[in-house]
This record gives sequence, structure tokens and C-alpha cells, in this order.
Amino acid sequence: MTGNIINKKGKNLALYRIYTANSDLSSTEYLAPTKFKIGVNNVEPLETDTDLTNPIPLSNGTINDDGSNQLTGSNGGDNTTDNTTTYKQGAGLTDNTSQNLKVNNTSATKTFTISDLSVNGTVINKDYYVGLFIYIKDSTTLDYFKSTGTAVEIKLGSDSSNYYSKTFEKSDLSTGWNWLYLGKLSDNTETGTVGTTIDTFIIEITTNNATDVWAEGDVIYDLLRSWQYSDTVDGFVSGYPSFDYTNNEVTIRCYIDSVTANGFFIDSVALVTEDTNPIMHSEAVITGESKSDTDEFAFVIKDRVR
Amino acid sequence: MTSGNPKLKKVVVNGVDVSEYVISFEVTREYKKVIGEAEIVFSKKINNVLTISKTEGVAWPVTIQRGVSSPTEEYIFRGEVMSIQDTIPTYTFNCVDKYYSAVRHEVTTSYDIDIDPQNGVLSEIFMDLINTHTDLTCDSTTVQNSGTALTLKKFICNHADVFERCDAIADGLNWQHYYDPDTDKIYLEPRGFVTESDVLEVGVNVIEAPDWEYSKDRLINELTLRGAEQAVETTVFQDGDNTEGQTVSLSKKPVSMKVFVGSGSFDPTGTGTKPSDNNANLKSGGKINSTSGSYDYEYDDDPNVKKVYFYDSSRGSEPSFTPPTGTNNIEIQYTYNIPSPVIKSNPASIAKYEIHKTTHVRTDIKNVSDAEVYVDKTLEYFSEPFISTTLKVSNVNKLKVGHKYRCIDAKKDIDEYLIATKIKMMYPYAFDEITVGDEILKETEWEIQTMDRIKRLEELEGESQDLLLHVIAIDHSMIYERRYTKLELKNIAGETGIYGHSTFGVYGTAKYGASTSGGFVLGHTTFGILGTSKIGSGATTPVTVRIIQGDNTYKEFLYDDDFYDSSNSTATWDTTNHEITFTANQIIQTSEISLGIKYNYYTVNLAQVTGDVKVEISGDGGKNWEEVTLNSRTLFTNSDTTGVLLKITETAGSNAKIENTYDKEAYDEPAIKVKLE
Repeated sequence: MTGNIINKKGKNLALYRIYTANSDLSSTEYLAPTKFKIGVNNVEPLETDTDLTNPIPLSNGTINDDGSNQLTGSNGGDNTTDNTTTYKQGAGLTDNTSQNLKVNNTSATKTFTISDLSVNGTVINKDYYVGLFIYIKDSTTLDYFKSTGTAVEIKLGSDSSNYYSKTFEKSDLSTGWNWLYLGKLSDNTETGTVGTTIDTFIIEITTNNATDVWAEGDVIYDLLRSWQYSDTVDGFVSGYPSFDYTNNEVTIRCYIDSVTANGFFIDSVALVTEDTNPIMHSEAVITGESKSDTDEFAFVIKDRVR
Repeated sequence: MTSGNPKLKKVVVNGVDVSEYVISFEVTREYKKVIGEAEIVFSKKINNVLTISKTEGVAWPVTIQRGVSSPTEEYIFRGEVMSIQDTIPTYTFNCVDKYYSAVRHEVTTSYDIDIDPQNGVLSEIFMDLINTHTDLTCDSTTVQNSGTALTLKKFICNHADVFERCDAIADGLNWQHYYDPDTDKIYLEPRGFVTESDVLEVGVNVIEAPDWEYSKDRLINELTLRGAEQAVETTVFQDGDNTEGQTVSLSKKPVSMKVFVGSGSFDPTGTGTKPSDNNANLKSGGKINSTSGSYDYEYDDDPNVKKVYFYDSSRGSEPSFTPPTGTNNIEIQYTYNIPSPVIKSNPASIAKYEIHKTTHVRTDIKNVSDAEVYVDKTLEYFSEPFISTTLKVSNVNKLKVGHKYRCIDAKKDIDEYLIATKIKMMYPYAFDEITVGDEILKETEWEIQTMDRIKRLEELEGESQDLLLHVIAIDHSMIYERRYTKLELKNIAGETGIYGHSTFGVYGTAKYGASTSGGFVLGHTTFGILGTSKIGSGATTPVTVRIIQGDNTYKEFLYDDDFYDSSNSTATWDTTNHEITFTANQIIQTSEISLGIKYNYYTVNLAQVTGDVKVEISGDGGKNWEEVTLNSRTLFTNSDTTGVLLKITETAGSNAKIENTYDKEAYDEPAIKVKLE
């Protein structure tokens, strides 16, 4: 659901900044909002929210696997094949290739693995935020995914026995491209003890039946990437905020150029501070708009006091 | 009120006329009680018009009127219900008059003679207490001016109920204060201030011969006055003998003292040497069982003892000092008070009523002649018994407690001006009861007591050492809100030359420059001519693709024209005066107030409308319009994501206006408000 509010923390910091003497203002806390961030799949905003539901990187971050490299199939999964028709833009990539997650009927668990990301990509820093795309062609294909419980599990670790993982249920997925967001990798469930080099990447899809198989190209993976917090925020357009002291309004302009945040269906924007622990001042959740390399976005935000 | 017997009545409870259910009532006002009372007995049938229950009834407003030819000639009671007794087959309402609300109001302030506009004048303070701190009223016609001779330097109200403070002022002045239901105002005036013209005469309007009471309770016919005492200092010398149990007897009761004890011989009357010549000889005093630690002496100020004690083991370890052997080496300087008593009597009163003797103490009377004036006046007023009685009076209007009435009882040879101390008005009406007497009258005329009261009031105020904390609550309401967010999308297809772009920034391939006039390819012989070929973006401009209002609610205060559609409007969108003005049939239309979001419901409010207008809304970008019922949550007939717009048309063929409302204390209401869900 859509919504457009100033969060409680945003009001707290406004109060703080109005009534605290200049000399007493903290240099690390309750700073004015000077950055923005964007997100996807955001739920209806609540005053108590402290972050977007799924913030996405504005900057490229780290490309751990650009989707042009084969994943080795096991169990009910076959080795993946290239797909140069349906792929994800973004992160400054030019490979224009994704991987078809081919399956067979030997098991309901379809496993796809890259055992060493460093060969064609980059190992993952456990303190980084992680996400990847999975494409599901249609509802028929989606219905193969396990109806209850874990339908997709993403594992990232030092090997197949020691990894961080996050599970997704069928209700978390939809037809078309799905952004699977793991958050900070080390915050996820740890199985075994993950070593320092996180180079093993596993996609595990569980279907209702072993015989649930789809055609090549009906389920696709692309773009495993990781990023830091600083990759998710950017400053306002120069000259903003702009103040109208007659009507007590402030205007903020947030610009996303054609090489940034591509491949996402953006549905939320938030203003944040640069506190030691950043505060989300406000958030707006709109009907999503897709962002590609032919698009420039500008969010114009107006707040007022009366 | 018309002359006659006021048998008609009207009783209203909680705004409902319940007169027909009244079985009886009794309205009482009494001099000492100040707050009037009423007891009304109703038939249980009152439930037909007023539901009485445990939770319903208490604090309901009550009025009682009565009259001779009309039931509403005079208010005899206005107040509220304090309690309801359910006694089959009736209800009894116990009520108090409106002055009771002053008990429920609290005040924390101080009146300083040099700061506050009341300038310490008691009647002004009283008026301010009533008018500012309660919902009652009084004015200069109901509150008599107490003048500038009697003022208070400081009058403190520290979380006190207003009634108590008013009562303190009235008591200090020795005046009366009360609520008059007929004028609906509070009064403060000297006792017996008003002398009513009605004469209460037995056999004329007093329907029964009363029993007169003569009270000797406060009779005085011999008075001793002890006035101000004067302090006198004296010194006693005594020889010490270095034994325990030494004492010094004093001839007067000491009020304060200093004790010096030296060594050796002193000659105060000869050479003039004294122990007090050396401050080191000053001893410390204390009190057995009161003073902790060590001390040298104690003294007993019992008028029958008047003695200074030094160490005596039989009395305890303290005091612990033993004066050494010496001559005049014990010196006691002490202060005692000298009173100035006056005694006088009234022999005629003593002969008539036997002796009634008393002593008064007046610390403010400092000389004998003032004392004699005081005694003479006291004997004049108190050497005869006080007279009082209760009269059954009919055909007399507006009896008032504290007012003076001439009372005549020819058979008992009484023709006196007496004060009404209690009044009882009843229904069914047969008569009113009025209790009259002269005790309060005499007190009122006994002026000296007033100064004493003022002084006591000041002393009581002065005793309070508490700091008065004024808590003044000032609330500001401030709304800090998101007005709106919009997303502008600029499609750069057709433009070239974005450095670093994976498609439009490939060296040797990408074209830089407007596509309409060809691209710019660095190094190209046609499209790379310095000074001729154009570099830069083409003609595309950002397009707004999403608009979402703050909290999904469009609030138009007309500060700007962000949502003004000038192309489709004929009325005036005035951002200077913050209003929309229409002449006959003119239209105002907004641009999209929401875009890219499909809503299901809308609620439209207009803050202030002058004239007649029709409001329409479109939920599908202007394709379909539906008329709006203001202030009503309504399901869109047609809605999609192409935008919500509003259209307002003047319909009376005249002028119309829509504007904000302004609340100086809080915030404004917008001229147009649309809540979308």
C-alpha cells in the first residue's frame, strides 16, 4: 500500500534541532537529513519505521557474479545455460547475459552452485548487503515452487556445509523478475562455521514434486551483487533543500541518473541523515516505476510546517 | 417580583423542565455557610423526562424560579446536584448553589501590592479571583470597594481553592460574600450593608408571633485589656562558689538572656569591672532534653520559677559548667516584658445580668488611651445580650441573608434593625422563614476587630516560607508534515553522449548531440566539426509519472499554484489572499493531485465556502467526473492510475469564494482537502 509520511524519528530530529542551542547540537546524532535512498517491494509506511523494507544500491557496489557464468547443477538441477534475451540491467554491467536454471525430474530439490566466485567474479564480504535476481516466467512455473515452507534458499559460504543462508517462500515470489534481498550477509542464518573466504554460491529451489520441471528459460538467475550502506544513499541535487519561509515549506530534489539503480522496479524513496547510526527521516511508497538505462528519475519532495 | 405569595414555581434540571414532578423543595441560605443549598423532592415519574441512575444526575445544573403571577419572576436558586437519594417512592436531590464551583477551581498566584494592578486592595483581589479563576462573575456593583486604608502587601494563593481565598478576604474584612441567584453574580459587602425597605412586622407580614431569644453567651460587662508589652533589660550579679548545684534567681520572667562568668573578683558598682568586659566569659545556654551536646547553663522561664541553673549532677550531666569561686563573677543580663493593662466595667449590665468578666490581649494597642477606647467600645457592644428570632414571613420579595431589616414586634416592644442570618424558602409555599439577630451587626460596627483581622491575614501570609511555583502551561501546536512527493521521469532515448553510459557512451560509436540534428561523433568528419556540430541533450523534458500526497491527503492552502490547472480554470486561484474566487458559473480545476496510484475512496472537505458551488472529482485522469457529497467517504465510480483531479463550479450565477480557516492557537484548515484511500 502507498503512503507518504514523516517518520517519528524524523519528527524527533526536527524537534531536537529546533530547540537545541547551536553549541549543544551533536555532530553525530539527529543531524538534518542530507541523503536519500530508494527501495523496492516496500510495505505501507508506518510512523515507527526506521528503514525501507528493501533498500537497493544506488551505486554499483561489488559484482560478485554478473550472471554470465555457469552454475553447476545437482540433485534435480542441471548445469545452467546462458540466456542473452532475458537478463537484468544494472550495476554498470555490459554482459547482457543471465543463466537459465535448467531442471530435471530426479529430485524436488533443484541445486545450482558456483563453488568459487573468485574465478569469474568476486568473493563476498560477510558485512556487505547482498541481493540477486530470479526470474519466473509465468504462474504455471510459479506453481511448481513449493506451496508451503521454503521454496528458494540462497546459500553463501565457504563451502556447501558452512554457509549463511536465507529462505524465501512461494508467497514471497511473483512472476517476472524477483529481487531476492538477503540484507547484511552475516545477519542471516549460519549453518556450520563460515570461513573467511566466502566464495561458494548456491541457489536451491524446492518444488512440490520431483517431476515438477520447467522449460529452459522459464526460470532465470542474474546478477549476484553486494554493497555497503554508502552505496545505498546519495546526496540531494545541488541547491536543495530550498526554503520557502513565506509558506514554511522546504523542497528537496533527489536525482537518479540513467546509469544508476537500473533493473529495479522502484517504489519507495526515503530521506536519511548521516548520523553515526543513520536515521530515516521520512519515506514515500508509490506504485513502482521501472528504472532502466534510458531513464532518469527525480524525486521532488515537499515538507511543510504550519 | 409581583407583590403577593409566590406559589408558582419552575424547576429545571439539566435543561429539562421538571416542575410537574416536584413534590417539595427547600432552599436555604445561611450566613455562616455562604454557599446556598437546596433540597428538592421529586416523584419517581421524573424518569419519564430525565433518566436518573447511579451514574446520571450528579453535577447536573439546577435552577428554581418562583413567582406570584408567573413562575419565572425570580430565580431563588441556581446551582448543581451534589447527590441524589433514591427513597421509594421519591428522589431527593441535594444541591449546592453556583458558588460551589469556586471550591472546584484551584488558583496558584500571588497578588503583590507593588506589582499587580489590584494594588493590594482586598476587594479588587476578590474580584480578580472570581472573574479570572472561576466561571462566576462579579463587578463593581456587586463587590464593594474595600478602599486603600485596608490593603495587603502580599496575598498568596498556593494551590488553594478559590472559595477558600475569597472567604479569607471576606473574613479579613469582616464582610459577607455570597451568590445571588437572581442576578447570577457574586457579592462582597459589609455585613448589613443593605438596609431593605421591607419592614417585617408581626401581624402584618409576619404570620406568627415569634419567640425572641436573648443570648448572654458573649456578654461582657467587665473587661481587662492587656495591651502591647514593652521589653525592658536588666542585669543581675552573683558570687560563684565552685560547687555543683549553683542557681541564680531572677525577679522577672526572662524572655531572653546572656550569662557571663569570670574568675576572681569584679566590682560593677564601684570600679565598674564586670565579667561581660571580656567576651570570652560569655557562656552557652541550652535546655535539658532539648539541646544536644554540651552547654553551660539553662534557665527556667516558668513565672513561678524564674531561675538560672548551672551544673547539678542530680539533674543530669548537662548543663555541665560550674561557676568558680569569685565576687560578682556571675553576670546575668536578661530581658522581660512590661504589660499595660486597663480594667473597666459596666455597672448597669452587671446589676441586670450579673458579672461577666473577661480579659482580652491586644498586642497592637501600645498605650493606655488606645486601650481605654478599645475597652469602652467593647463594653458598649457586648454589655447587653444579643437578640435573635426566626420569623415566618409572607408577601415579602427577595429576602437576602446579610441584609438589614427593620423588625417590629409591638407586643414585645421590639423595634430593631436586625440582620438576616438564615433564610429558608419552601414549596409548597405557605411562608418563608427568616432568622434575624443583632450579634453580627454589632460585630460589624466594632471596627477595631477588622484591623486585627487584616493584620492576622498578613501574618498568616507572611508565615508561609514556601516558594510559590507558578506553572503556566502554554501549549503550541505545530504540524510538521509531508506535503507531497512526485517522481519525474526523463526518457533519454534519442539522446546520445552520456559519458560512461554502457549504450550512449561508447567511444567511437555513441553519438553526442541532439538526434534531430544528427549526432556528434568525436573524430567524425560530418558530425564532429568543432564550432558547428551540437553536443548535448535533445528536446525531451522530465514528465511527472507519480504524485502522492502526504498521508494520501491533498491539502490545498492556496500558498502556491503547484496543483492549479490554469488551462481548465476560469475562476481566480489567488495565492496572495489564499482564496479561490468565483464570479457567475466560473470553474476552478486542479491538475492531478495524485498520479500513478489507483485509489478506491475519496473524502472531500472545503474549509470555508461563501456562495454556492458544485464539486466534482475524477479518479481516472479526467475521463469521467462524479459529483461529490462533501465530508462523506465515497467509493470512486471510476478510478485508475491516470490521476485524481478536482473541479469546482459556481452554481448560483453569482459570486462565490473558497478559503482557508485560520486558528491562531493551532493550525489552519485548508481551503480544499481530499483524503484518498
